[in-house]
Amino acid sequence: MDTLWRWRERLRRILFKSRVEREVAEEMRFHLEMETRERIARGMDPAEARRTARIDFGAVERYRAEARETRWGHRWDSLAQDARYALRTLGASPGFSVVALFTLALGIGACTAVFSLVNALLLRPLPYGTPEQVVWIETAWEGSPRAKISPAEFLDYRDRLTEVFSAVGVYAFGALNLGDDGEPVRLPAAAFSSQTLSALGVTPTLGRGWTEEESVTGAPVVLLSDAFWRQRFAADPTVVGRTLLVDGREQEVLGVLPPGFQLPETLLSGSPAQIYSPLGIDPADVTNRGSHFMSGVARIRPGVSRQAAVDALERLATGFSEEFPDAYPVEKRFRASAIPLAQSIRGLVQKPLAVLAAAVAFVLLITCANVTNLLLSRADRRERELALRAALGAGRGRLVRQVMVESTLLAVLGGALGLAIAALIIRGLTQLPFDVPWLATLGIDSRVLLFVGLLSPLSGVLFGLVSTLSIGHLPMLAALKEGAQTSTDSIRSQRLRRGLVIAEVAVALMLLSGAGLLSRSFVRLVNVDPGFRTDDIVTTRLSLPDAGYPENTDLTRFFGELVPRLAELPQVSKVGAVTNLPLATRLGDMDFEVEGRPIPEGDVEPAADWQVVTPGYFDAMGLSLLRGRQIQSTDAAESPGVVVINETFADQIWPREDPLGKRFRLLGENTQPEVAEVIGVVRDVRHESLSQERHPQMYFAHQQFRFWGQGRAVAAMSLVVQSALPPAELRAAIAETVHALDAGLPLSEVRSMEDVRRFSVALPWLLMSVMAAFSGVALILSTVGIYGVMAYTVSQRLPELGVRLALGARPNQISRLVLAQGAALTLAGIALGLSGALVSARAISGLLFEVSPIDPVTLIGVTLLLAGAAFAACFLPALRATRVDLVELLRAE
Amino acid sequence: MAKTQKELLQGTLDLLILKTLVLQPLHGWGIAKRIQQLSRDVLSVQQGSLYPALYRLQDRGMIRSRRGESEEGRPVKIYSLSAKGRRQLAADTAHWETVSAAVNHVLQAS
Repeated sequence: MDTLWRWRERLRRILFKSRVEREVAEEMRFHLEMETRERIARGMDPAEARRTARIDFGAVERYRAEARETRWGHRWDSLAQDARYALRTLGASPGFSVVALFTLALGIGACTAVFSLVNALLLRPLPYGTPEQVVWIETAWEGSPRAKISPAEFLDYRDRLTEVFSAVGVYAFGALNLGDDGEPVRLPAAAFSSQTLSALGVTPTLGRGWTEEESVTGAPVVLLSDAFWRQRFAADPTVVGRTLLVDGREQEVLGVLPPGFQLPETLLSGSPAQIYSPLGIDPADVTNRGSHFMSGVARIRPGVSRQAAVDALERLATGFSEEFPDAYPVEKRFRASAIPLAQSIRGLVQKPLAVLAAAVAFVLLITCANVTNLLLSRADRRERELALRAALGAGRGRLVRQVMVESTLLAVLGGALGLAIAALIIRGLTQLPFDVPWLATLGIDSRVLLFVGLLSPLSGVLFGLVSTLSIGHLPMLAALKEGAQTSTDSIRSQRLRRGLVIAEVAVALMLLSGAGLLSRSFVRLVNVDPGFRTDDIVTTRLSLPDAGYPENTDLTRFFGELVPRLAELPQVSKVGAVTNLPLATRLGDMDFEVEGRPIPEGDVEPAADWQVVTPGYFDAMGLSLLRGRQIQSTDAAESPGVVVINETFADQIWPREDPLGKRFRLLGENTQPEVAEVIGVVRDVRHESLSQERHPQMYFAHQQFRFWGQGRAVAAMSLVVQSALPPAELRAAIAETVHALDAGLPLSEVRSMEDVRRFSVALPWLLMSVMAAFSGVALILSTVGIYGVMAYTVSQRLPELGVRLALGARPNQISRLVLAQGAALTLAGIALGLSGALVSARAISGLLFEVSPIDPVTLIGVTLLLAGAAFAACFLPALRATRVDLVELLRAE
Repeated sequence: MAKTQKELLQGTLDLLILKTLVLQPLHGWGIAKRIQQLSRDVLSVQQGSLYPALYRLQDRGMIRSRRGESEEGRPVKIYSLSAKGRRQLAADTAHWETVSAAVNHVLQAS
């Protein structure tokens, strides 16, 4: 009962503070009155009685204060009071406050933005059950450090490692045509084996996954992604059991996968699959050891250590060389490893993130330096005030606490602003047209808020501590006695301040040079001649499904008719088609044997990247023919096999001879044309990226080319259409022509070649922009820092400068003095920064394209920029120095 | 053991307040007058020490306050002893008697 009452009282004191205060005052007044009355009763004169009573009572305020202080909750009271006072003083010096807030907001905002990036990329939990138990299976051999899994290997891993793995699944990505009611659409898709879902620890929210039998027999079933189910079927729960027309075949919807589920690769880039089909490996088909096209994941059996699982897998894989010496020659050193899933995903983004983190650390350093400097200057200026308070009885602890509250408040306010800035940055980032799914998850969630919530007060405490260093050491009395010349501006704090500014300038220089290098590199990259033309070209992808085109003649006829029809359209000037669009895809290579040059035993066969084209492709792409002729419609299936090679191919295989007329044989079962004759040489093309080095490439005729194994013709090609019209307008015309030949065929990825090219440099562009943003911030902050220090120094030296002026010094001599001081600081910083840039050159060279990491033009340029900014920063203080009015100064003493 | 003069006085004052209240709940002024009265005018409590002591005792849960009326009907705060306060009073009294007896012994030694 008592305790309850006590706590109720305490609450009352906090909540109804003023009322409680009034009660206390009332109590005191009552006491005083009674005392007075007693004295009157004893015979004193009423006025006298009142007076003596009051004197005896003493200073009421003092007692009230003391009474207040003994009460619980007083500590919070005084903290609140400190906070209010801090707000007032911050408001009283708006210049300082604005600069400090701005600095803090920039610094904290930048860090928060980067943290949210890290959060979206690394800290989000993976959409799988107990992901720590899931491993990624990767194979490698000489020449291929990170390769996928072949069907026979998968069967071995699945069936022979059951003591360590409870499930092993494989999958591959692709795309499928969905031809239901409405516009046919092409969806990113994937196929996975029956155990994949259990390996990833995922169960469908509706329906079920497929069994092993269903996948082996190729049952016509599909699973839908949650997003696709919501978008196309409005989350209709009866979708299970419905049939869809996929790639021309009827498929039954077996279920819907959970929201957020994706196969591992698409977590970082690429479009997540919307529709999934079974991937079945028939055990009878066990001979295929060479086609490494599937990704593999496995779940470690509970109770088995990860090390044991890793060892078992490695042992099995290296044993393949003995078991199947033909498929795994010993020299190839075939091996497999199991990597924890989270680790392998993280590994992909480590390098760029590291660079980003370094940039952020730098910006933070500069921010801290700036704000500390500001606070130090301020602490010096407030010495008089603090000394006064000390004289009035405030203990050192109280003063320190006051300063800490102020700096923490400043930091928290700055942090709130920084959060707003970060939100803006994040909004900007999510608007970027990148095909990265995690970008959509970028945002300010509870973890980011927690980060800001911790970072702000912590930095506030840090700054406060640094600035309170000076409080205890002040000769307090001396400070009171001095006139306008307040402090003895200790040497130590001067040096500290100067040191901070020099460090700031150095860091800013490093960031600027990094940004400058990346920008130059980017400009070089963008201006690289890819070898083909990119303007006025529209592309789209067409994939002919097996169901509608069972025979090779169907495929060749389709493209054979489509291309001339498109060429006839008035809007189209040139048109062709190719298997893999440059700058958007990767090429595979094929082995061949040159006629007349048999390959000796044990030697590696020559190989080249292959492409399949229709007549008209080279013209449409602006690929200039150097020798011979192009592929023409006369190069039909029955005609002799022809091939067009690129310069590098010619240089490598027939260095000093004329390649025209030479022949080579394609190695690979059932590949057509078996023997190809070189009929033309074209310019090199940078296919994979603008920075790619030259590879040998060969182009076959669509009419003639057949894949190895099944002997199938190419079913998916990218149309390349040269036209003055933009994609949006051209699309209708193309669609009409295509649908005249096949009404259910979707046009996917309709875009201009310019867009493709721009997209291919998206990542370097992003890196460059981020660096530029950071260095811009660094530049602003250091300029402000220099200004702050110079302004303060000038204000400290005002009397001295005034005297100089009075003694006859000319104004520009004074300003030169100030500028010299500023120049000394800046030069020291630049020197430090340049050496830092030189030292870190190696780290950044991996990200540069055709630009040296110590490129003198860039370094000189940013140095001049920084020096210019520093000069501008010193300008105002120097001007102020010349305007000193000595008389006024003396009067103010 | 109390270490400073101030603490010694504080402890004693607390004891006096508690004793006063055990007889009857009173308001602040009443407590001061009663102590003065009971000590035969030897001890006169300064307001400056009385109220802080009262608030301290309240915080520690020894006494409670409620709104009441003075003899003339003025609103005033009345303090009373709590159960904890009663126990503390007994303990402090015993302690005081021990201490003062000891001090006496020392002073009487020659």
